[in-house]
Amino acid sequence: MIGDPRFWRSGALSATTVMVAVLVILSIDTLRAIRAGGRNVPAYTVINRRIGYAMDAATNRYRPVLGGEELLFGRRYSAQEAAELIERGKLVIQTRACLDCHTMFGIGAYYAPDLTKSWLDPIWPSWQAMTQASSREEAMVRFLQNPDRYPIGIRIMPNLRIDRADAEALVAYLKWLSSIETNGFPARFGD
Amino acid sequence: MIYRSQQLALRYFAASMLLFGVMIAAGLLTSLYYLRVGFLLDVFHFSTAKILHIDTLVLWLLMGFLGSVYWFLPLELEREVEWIGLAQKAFWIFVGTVAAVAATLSFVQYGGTSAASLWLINQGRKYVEAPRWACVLIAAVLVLFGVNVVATALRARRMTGILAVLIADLIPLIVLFLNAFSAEPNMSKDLFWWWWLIHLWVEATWEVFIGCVLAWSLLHLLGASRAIVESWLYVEVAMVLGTGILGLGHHYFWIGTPSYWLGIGGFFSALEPLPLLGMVIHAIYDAGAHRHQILNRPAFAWLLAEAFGNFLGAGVWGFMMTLPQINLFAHGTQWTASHSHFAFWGAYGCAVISVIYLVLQKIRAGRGDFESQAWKWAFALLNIGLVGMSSALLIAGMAQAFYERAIGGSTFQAFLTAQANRWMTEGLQARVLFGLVFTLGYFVLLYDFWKIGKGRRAPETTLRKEASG
Amino acid sequence: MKPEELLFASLLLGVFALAGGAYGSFFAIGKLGRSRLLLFTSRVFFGLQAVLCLVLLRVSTLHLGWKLFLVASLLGYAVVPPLAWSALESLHGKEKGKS
Ligand code: HEM
Ligand code: HEM
Ligand SMILES: [Fe+2]
Repeated sequence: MIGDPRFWRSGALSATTVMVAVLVILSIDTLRAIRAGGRNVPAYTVINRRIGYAMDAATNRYRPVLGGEELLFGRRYSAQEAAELIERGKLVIQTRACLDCHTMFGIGAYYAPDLTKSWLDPIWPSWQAMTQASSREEAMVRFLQNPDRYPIGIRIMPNLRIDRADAEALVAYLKWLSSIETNGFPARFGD
Repeated sequence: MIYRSQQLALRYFAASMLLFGVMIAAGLLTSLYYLRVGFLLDVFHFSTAKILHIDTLVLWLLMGFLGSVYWFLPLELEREVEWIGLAQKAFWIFVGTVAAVAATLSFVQYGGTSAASLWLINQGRKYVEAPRWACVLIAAVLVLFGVNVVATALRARRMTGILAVLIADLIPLIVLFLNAFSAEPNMSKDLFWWWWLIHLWVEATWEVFIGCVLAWSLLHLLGASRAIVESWLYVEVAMVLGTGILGLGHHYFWIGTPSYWLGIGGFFSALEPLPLLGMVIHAIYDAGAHRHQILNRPAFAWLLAEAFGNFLGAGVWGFMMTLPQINLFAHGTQWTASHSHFAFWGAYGCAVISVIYLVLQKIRAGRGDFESQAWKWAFALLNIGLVGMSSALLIAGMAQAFYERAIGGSTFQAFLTAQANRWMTEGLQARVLFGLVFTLGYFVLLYDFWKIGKGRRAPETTLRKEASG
Repeated sequence: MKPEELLFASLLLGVFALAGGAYGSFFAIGKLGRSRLLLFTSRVFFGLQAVLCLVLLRVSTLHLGWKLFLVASLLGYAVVPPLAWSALESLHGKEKGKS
C-alpha cells in the first residue's frame, strides 16, 4: 500500500480538502464577527463614545470598555460621516505606509511603537502640554502634522505632509481601532 | 540542446540574484536607522528602505521559482514550453516593472491622500507595497507563467505527479496574490485577508511549490526514482497542508478575530515542525542512499541547508513563539523579525541557490569537475551571517518582548524604554555585523557562480556559448 | 503568564523542538552509518526532549490544553523519524526489487 503513490495522493487530497473546508466555515463566522458592527469590531460611530481598556475578571484578559458619549473634535458624527472618516483614515495609513514603521495589532514594522491602543496611551496628557493643545485629539493632530518638531526619545517620526483633514481622519481611525476586541493584546497596557 | 525555456530560466536566475543583492543593500541600509537617531530624517524614510528590502525579497524568490520551473518543465515533458515567446517578453516586463517600482519608491517614496497614490506610488501594505499598476503586471506575468505550464502539459498530452501538484498549487498561489489590490478600510478585515496571502503563501502554497522544485532537483541531482520522489511529495503535501492551512490561525490571535483561533491556530501551527522534521530525515536518507551519485556537491549542500534551515527557521523559531500565551508578548517584536529572516532563508533562499548550482553544472561542464573552494566560503559566510543575524535579533526580540510587552504593557513609553535597553541596542548592532558577513558571502557566491565549472577540463560546448550569449 | 516566565518557557519550547530535531537527525545518520553510538545519541536527545516536556508540564503556567498537546507532540516527535525512515526504506526496497 505505502509503495503506491496513489495511496499518498488520496491522503494529500483528503487532508487538504478537509482543512480547506474547516477554514471556509470558520472564515464565514469570523468575517461576520469582524465586520464593523459585528461581535468583535464596533461600528464606526463608536468614535462618538468614550473608550477604555481594562482587565476583565470573567475572561481574565484585557478588553475594551465602551462608555457614554465623548465627542471627537466636539462633533457628533453620523454613521455615514464616520464611515467616510474611517475610509479616509485608512487611505492616509496606506499612502503614507504607516505600517512600514509602526505596527497595528502587532503587524507592520518594528521601528516605531504599536498603535493598537495609541488612542488610550498614557503619554497624551504630557504631549498635550508639549504641543500646547486643548485636548488629546488636538495634541494628536498637531503631532501628526509636524512630528519631526516633537522628537520622542530615540525615534523621530518624519514629516509625511499630512494636512488637517488627514490628521483628523487618522485620529478617528486610531480611536476606532482602540475599541476593537483583540483577545487581550496588548496585555497590561497602561498598568 | 538547451530549450528556449531554459535560456529564459537562466535570465530569471540572473535577475533573481541581482535583486537578491538589492535586497541585501536595502536590508543593510534599513538596519542603520536603528543605530543612529534621526538617520536620513525627512530625506529617505526607514519605511522606504524597508519596503525595498522586503518587496525585493518576495520578488527575487518568485523569480528564482519561475526560473526553476522554466528550467525543469521542458525536461519533464521533453518538449519546448508553449508560448515561450510571450514568456520571454513577459520577463522583460517583469524586470522593467520591478525597476520602475524601485525607482518610484526611491525617489517619490509616498503620495498624497488619494487613490491615485495607490495606483501609482505605494500601497502601504506590508510585502505588497508595490503600486497597483505594477501588481497588475506582476499578476499578468504569473498568470502567463501558469498558462505556460498548463498549455505545455496539454500539448504534450502528459501529466506527471509532480506536474499535477504544481499546477494544482499554482491556482491558489496566483489567486491569493489578488489580495495585493485591497484597500479595505476595516483593519481587521484587511488583515484577515492579507494573512491569507502572506501565510498561505509561505506556509502552504510556496512550501508545496518548492517541494515540486526540489522533487525535480532530486530526480536530476541524484537520479532518485520517480515513484519514490512522487510518493514523498504527496506525503509532504498532506502534512504541510494538513497543518499549514489551519495554522493560519496563529495570525488570528490579536487582530479582532474570535478567540477560537487561539486554540486552532496554536494547535495546528505547533504541529508544523513535524513535516519539516520529516523532510530533514528524507534529506539525510538521500545523502546516504545516493552517496556515490553526488557529482554536484554545492547543489547538494544547499539542498541540505534548505532542509535543516526550514526546520530550524520555520519549525523551531516559529514553534518558540506560536503558542498564544507566549505570542501575546513575543508578537510584533524583533523576535518576529528573527523568525522571518531565518524561515525565509532556510525554506526558500537556500532552495533557489541549490537549483542555480544544479543548473550551472548542466550548462557548464556536463562531465568536467564541478568543484571550487569559493562555494564553501560562500556557503559558510552566508549561513553564519544569517544564523548570527537571527540569533542577534532573537536576543533583541526577547528583550523587547520582556521589557516592552510583558513588563511595560506596550505603551509608547514602554516601547522607548525597551529600545534603549542594552540587550536590544547591542543585539541590533550585532545584527549589522552579521549582516556584513552575510553580504561578504553574497559576493563570494556571485564570484563562484561566475567561475565554478568553467575549469580547463570542462569541454567548451555550444551549449555554453548559447547560455552566455 | 508572568513576565519572568515568558522567556524561560519560550526557550524551553525552542530547545524542546531543537532536541526533537537532533533526535531525528542523529537517528537518520545513525541508521545510515549503522552506528550504534549515533543511534544511542539520538535516544539521548529524545530523552532530553522528554525531560524538557516534563519540566514544561511541572513548572510552566501553560494552560492544561497546551500541556496535553505537548505530550501528544512528544509522541509525534518520537514516531516521525522511525516511520519516515521505514517508509523511505520500503519505497526504495520495492524499487530495487523491481530492477
Ligand atoms: C544583510 C542582510 C540583512 C539585513 C541587514 C536585514 C535587515 C532587515 C531590517 C532592518 C528589517 C526591518 C525590520 C523591522 O521592521 O524593524 C528587515 C526585515 C525583513 N527582512 Fe531582512 N535583512 C537582511 C537579510 C535578509 C534576508 C537574507 C532575508 C530573507 C531571506 C530577509 C528577510 C526579511 C523579512 C521577511 C523582513 C520582514 C520581517 C518582519 O517584519 O517580521 N532579510 N531586514
Ligand atoms: C517557510 C516557512 C515560514 C516562513 C517563510 C515564515 C515567515 C514568517 C514571517 C515573514 C512572519 C512575519 C509576518 C509579519 O508580521 O510580517 C511570520 C510570523 C510568524 N510565524 Fe512564520 N514562517 C514560516 C513558518 C512558520 C512555522 C512553521 C511556524 C510555527 C511553528 C511559524 C510561526 C509564526 C508565528 C507565530 C508568527 C507570528 C509572529 C508574531 O506574532 O509577530 N512560522 N512568519
Ligand atoms: Fe504563519
